Amino acid sequence: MTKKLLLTFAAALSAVSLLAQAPQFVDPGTRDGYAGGVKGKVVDRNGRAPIENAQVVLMQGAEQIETVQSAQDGSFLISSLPDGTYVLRITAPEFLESQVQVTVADGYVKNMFNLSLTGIQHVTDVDDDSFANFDMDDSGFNDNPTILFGSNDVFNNIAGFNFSAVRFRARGYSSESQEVYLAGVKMNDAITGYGPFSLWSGLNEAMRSKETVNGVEATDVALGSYNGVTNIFGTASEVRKGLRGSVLTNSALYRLRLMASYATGQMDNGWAFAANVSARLGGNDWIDGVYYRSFAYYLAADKIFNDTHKLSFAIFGTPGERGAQNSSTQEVYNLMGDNMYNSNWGYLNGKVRNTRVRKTHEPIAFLKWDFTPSDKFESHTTLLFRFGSNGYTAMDWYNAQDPRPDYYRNLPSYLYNPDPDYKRNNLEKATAAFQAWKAQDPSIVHFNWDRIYQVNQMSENGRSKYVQEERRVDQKDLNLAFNFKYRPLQNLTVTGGLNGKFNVTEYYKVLADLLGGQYFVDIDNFADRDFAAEPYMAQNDLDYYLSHNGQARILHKGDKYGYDYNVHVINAGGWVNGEYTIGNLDINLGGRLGYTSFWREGLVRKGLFPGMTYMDPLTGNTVEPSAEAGIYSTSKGNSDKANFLTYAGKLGLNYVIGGNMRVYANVGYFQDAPTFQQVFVSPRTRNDMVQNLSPIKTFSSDINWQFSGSGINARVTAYYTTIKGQSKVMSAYDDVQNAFSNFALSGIDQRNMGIELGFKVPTYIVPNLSVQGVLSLGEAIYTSNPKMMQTLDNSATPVAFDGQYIIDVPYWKESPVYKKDAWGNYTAALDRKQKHYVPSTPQTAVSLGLSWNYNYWFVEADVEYFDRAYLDMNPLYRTQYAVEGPDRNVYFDAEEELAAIGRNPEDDSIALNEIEAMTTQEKFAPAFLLNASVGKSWYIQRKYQLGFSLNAKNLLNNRNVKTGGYEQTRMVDNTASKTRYYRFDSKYFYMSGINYMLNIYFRF
Amino acid sequence: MRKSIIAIAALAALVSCRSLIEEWQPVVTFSQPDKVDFVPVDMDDEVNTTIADLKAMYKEHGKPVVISGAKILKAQVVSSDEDGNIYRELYIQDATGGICLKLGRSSSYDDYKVGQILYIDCEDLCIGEYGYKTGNYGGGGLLQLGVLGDGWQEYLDGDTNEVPEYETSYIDLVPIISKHIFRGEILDEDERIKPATPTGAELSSDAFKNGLAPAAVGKLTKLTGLKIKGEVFALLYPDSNLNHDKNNSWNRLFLSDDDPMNFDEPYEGYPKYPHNLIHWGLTKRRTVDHLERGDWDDLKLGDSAADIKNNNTVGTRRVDAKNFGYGYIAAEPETYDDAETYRQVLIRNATAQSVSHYFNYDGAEVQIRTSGYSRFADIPIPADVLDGSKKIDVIGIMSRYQGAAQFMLLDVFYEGNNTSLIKDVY
Repeated sequence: MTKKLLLTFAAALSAVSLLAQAPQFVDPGTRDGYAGGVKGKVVDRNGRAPIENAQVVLMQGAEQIETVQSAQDGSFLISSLPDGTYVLRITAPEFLESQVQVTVADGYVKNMFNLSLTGIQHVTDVDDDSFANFDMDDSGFNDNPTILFGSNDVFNNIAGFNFSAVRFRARGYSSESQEVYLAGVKMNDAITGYGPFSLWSGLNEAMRSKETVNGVEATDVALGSYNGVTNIFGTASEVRKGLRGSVLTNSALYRLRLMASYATGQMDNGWAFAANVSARLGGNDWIDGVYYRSFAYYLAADKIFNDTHKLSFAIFGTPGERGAQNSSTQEVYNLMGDNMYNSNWGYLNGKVRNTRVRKTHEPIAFLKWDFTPSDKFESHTTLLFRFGSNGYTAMDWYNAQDPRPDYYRNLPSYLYNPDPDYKRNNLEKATAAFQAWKAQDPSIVHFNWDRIYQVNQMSENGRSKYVQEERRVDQKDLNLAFNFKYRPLQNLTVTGGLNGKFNVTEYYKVLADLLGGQYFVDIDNFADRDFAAEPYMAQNDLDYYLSHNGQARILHKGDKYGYDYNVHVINAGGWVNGEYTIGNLDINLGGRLGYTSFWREGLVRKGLFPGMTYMDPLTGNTVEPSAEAGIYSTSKGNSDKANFLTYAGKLGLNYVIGGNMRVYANVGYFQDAPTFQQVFVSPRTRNDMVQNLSPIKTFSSDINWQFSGSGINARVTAYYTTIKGQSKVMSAYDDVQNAFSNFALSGIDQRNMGIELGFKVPTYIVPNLSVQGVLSLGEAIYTSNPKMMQTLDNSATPVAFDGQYIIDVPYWKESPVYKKDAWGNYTAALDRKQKHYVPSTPQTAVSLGLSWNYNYWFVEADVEYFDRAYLDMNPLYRTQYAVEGPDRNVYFDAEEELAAIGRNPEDDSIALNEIEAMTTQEKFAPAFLLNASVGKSWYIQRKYQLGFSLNAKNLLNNRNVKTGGYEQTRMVDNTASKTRYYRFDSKYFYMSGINYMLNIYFRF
Repeated sequence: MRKSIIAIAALAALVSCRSLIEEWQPVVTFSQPDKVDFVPVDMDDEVNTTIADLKAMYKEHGKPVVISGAKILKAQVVSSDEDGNIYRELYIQDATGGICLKLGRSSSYDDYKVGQILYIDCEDLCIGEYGYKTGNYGGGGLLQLGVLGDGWQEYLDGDTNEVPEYETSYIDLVPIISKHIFRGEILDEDERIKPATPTGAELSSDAFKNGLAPAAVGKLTKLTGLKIKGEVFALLYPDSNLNHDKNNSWNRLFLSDDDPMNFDEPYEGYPKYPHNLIHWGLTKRRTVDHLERGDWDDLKLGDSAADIKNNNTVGTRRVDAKNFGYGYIAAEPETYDDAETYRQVLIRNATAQSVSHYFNYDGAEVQIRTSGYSRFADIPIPADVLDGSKKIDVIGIMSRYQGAAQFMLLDVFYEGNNTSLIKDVY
């Protein structure tokens, strides 16, 4: 800890020492008089707010002709120009420089209309890397934060950076609801819908240029959804001109990032070239085992053929690997004295080896054609292909002990509990376990690689008992997107587009490492246990077994095994949006229509679900396929297709008041298809889908007030959204069923409403000092009790509860809270119904700080407050079955108390405290954080720029901030009383303590 | 300016070097090792006790003994839990005898190989007995080496009068295992302990039945010429999550085919295996199959006087499904909305079942009890063994339960044959 603090302090000290040696600012510009021939309006790319005092420089070749400044409404005029081709270079404080070519002909004053600039973010490195790669694969949950960045919107700019550490989700929406486009192509994952930011992590320069809208607003590339749209341009001419290099170090994720980029800008010959490479390397100060060895490349070229045609091509990828962090229970964190403990790794020959490593290389190539036949019409057509591999390693074992160090049976709580009902009463063992954890013996508290290797080496016949698998998700994703903008009238703009996606994603496992053994066998562990005398049932590849006279497939390193299936997704759609301007009022009206179809194609025949009758080669017996519970399950071949016709409509009103203010409101209704992951109950094993599928129906509205001018930026938004008919499949081991289970939920409704406030206002007391802040105050709650069907991976029959396969989850949206008497005992009187919240994001998030900008210096300090974050819920705990316990009844703890209040104990079949204990949703403790940033850049000899930024986060070193987690889908079932179940301890992730990020860059 | 650049460069170099030295090198990335050698322990110089010495410390039934002082035992592993018929136990033997080491780890054969020498630091471990019963049909049990059972320390200290259930508890925690058990070399085949061959007289002797530590118990054993008696037994729990002790007879179902089937003296016309219990054990799947075929529909229930009076059986008795666990097996079950047969409850909650088959061995009765979770549970006993026309030889661990010889099967052969009837059948 001391070392971390010292390092942070040293970095800060170094930065401060540099301040004292700062060179004098050199003004890069010159000022001449006015001329004419070109006019336009400089606006903020985000929100179209006018930019006052932007510097507009007219160049002809290397000669600077004139320089003007934009007026309060952003307008400028350069007159009396001779015919010819010029370049307009536009700069403004807090915005990226922009250049545009302009041709003056026949003595006309060329109207360039809106010239938009993209806002600078001081903190430019908020991207997918800002979030540790949480290891949630085996939990049945997911945790993908919404990333807010890339716009000059005052709320997003502050919240995107300052709130990223707590995995803030804007408005409580899931990440898949935020649409992310690249060159006009929607890039959200075809299978999961998740944000695709990891595809270009480390290519910050190449992907910096983008436009973003919030909430229900529409854009030029898509009608969008209800959680904003980000469109990254990604073409060579959009990369900032010049050679740039940077060195970045941070203490929370990886040690070092090296990045270089070069872009020619649009050259006179019509070509533009750009390249960006980077490497992210090393570990961090807080979470052992998390490391990066990631690289990135980007190559792009644009060619303007004439005024009408432009072609852009780019290819990029981010090959590399990164170690993942795992969650643990609070007991484990307390034993380790460290909330950053990561159970995924152990020492191997003295080196840290992580069991969970994500290995990816998914190149993306696109070709974009810009067609501009006239000032009134432009269109953009992009063909984009994503391919490559995405792997994630994990341990697999056969007939061997669970190797995880924090497996619950290794912990003191499993050995002793003061409540005798747990039947855990060996204090001596608990003490021994406690002492072993406290001593932090690496063979106990970390993954014991030495034992794993020895077990495999000593195994008879060389059969590995433990192996490392790599779960592969390899996509082939072909996209064609066309969009256009047409201005038939001065005050009418019509945008629209067509899009198609063809995705084939192969899910399979590869045997990544035999860990000292010589081979492994392709059988299903659970089936092997349950059907020991019927080996055909345990085959992961039954066809191989049948064609090899009853032999299971022997596996070696690199072999596919376990499961292998394709997911096919076809999306097609079209949209149109009209923007009509009446005076200061803009009216947007748009709609979209879409078709989604997806299905599973099993590539291997699993013994449990063969889907055919066959003869067992060992016994000669005929084996019939199981067709239980009316469900005929098969693992090979194509499943039924899930087809959805979707549509959406949006209406937006935007009223501009004066030059700096606007009030706008949006309303939209969306009917979206669920994703593949939400529909197939156990895609690893079979083709079965959730029954009675229907689209997700969302109604969303927001009303906004925005001001931008005189150094003031402010936005206030109120939003209201209902999302109905969501489905979800969670997979986890179920102790009661003794099998790997899938919990398919359907009919999940939620309501998100709240306000957002962002502002940055000069103090007017201290020059260049501003007050800035954001407030996100929302309420994202569940509003329905969904239905649940539980299936087992090794059985075609769903789990029956009282003979029913599909049951209610009656405590999902709320749980009862009962009044207690003066002694703290429960009474039968209901106090209130506690709402259950959409989890894993603080529903109250506040940031307040100061920002000082002068002479290319910036200094910022912010204090943050987060509250009302909740834990992800497990549906099993909210069933009547779980509440009642194994005896199907629960008794009031103190019968005499019940009798005292005039109730017959036999009538109260449910104990109130048991309901609360099983169904309550955990609320995280609120948190205060303090962040600070400082930065400076210098121009050297008018052409070189050297700068740095230093961001120190969590200066109060608060290491008790929960950022996520989940309830384990397991219950303690073997109790003394046999009358109730208990929860397993929940698992959590915590935010890093004090950490820094120092970025030093050089540009010319 | 130059100083600034140098300062920044120095800082960058500093963090880069830290990365190189402290963050990059220790992380295993590209190359993985091929092996990590196991180094056996040799503690021969410290060995000062034997299994016979330890067993001799157990002086009285019902009185577990905590071993004090430095006692180092050297013994050889003679059992494997690979087939699942032995679970969370390891049998060790030296020249003086054999004992059950209560090693509470599943798949312990991954770490402890048959023929491997173990050195056991016995200090603070406990010798206790499992399966002892007084009175009729009672007798001695199996001595085990473990840690003192849950609650025993309080009982021995006089803090409670309630006698705890188990005298020993598992050595299941890695820190405790690491403290007491040390792995030595793995002996060659010809150096390993050979199976004992007790006589029938020894197994049926009073010393075997009631003695504290009969020499035959706990050893790797080979019995030859076993002939099936036709007596078979299993105990089913309609809901294993609920109480299934002797006080909850509604949750216990005895599946027993006994004397009438004894083919030495069969009743005329009586089927030998009326409940089709012809496998070594019953997996969950096999259990469900039997129930669905109605094999056990005729089993009588003994829950209530009404059941006995009405001759209620598994196939006919209707119960309240929702309230089954509550003990709702009332006289008029048809009044329940969720009424279902007892058989349906058994199917719904089915689990794997242990089955005991009884054999005659050299004049003694030997019970072979096989777990439903063993890998050969569903393998049928050959028809010619079932009908008594052929005998078998068995290898396993000789145990004792309530004074009776109980055999934990590791392998089975036709008499005089070396081809296994349960290994690698599939």
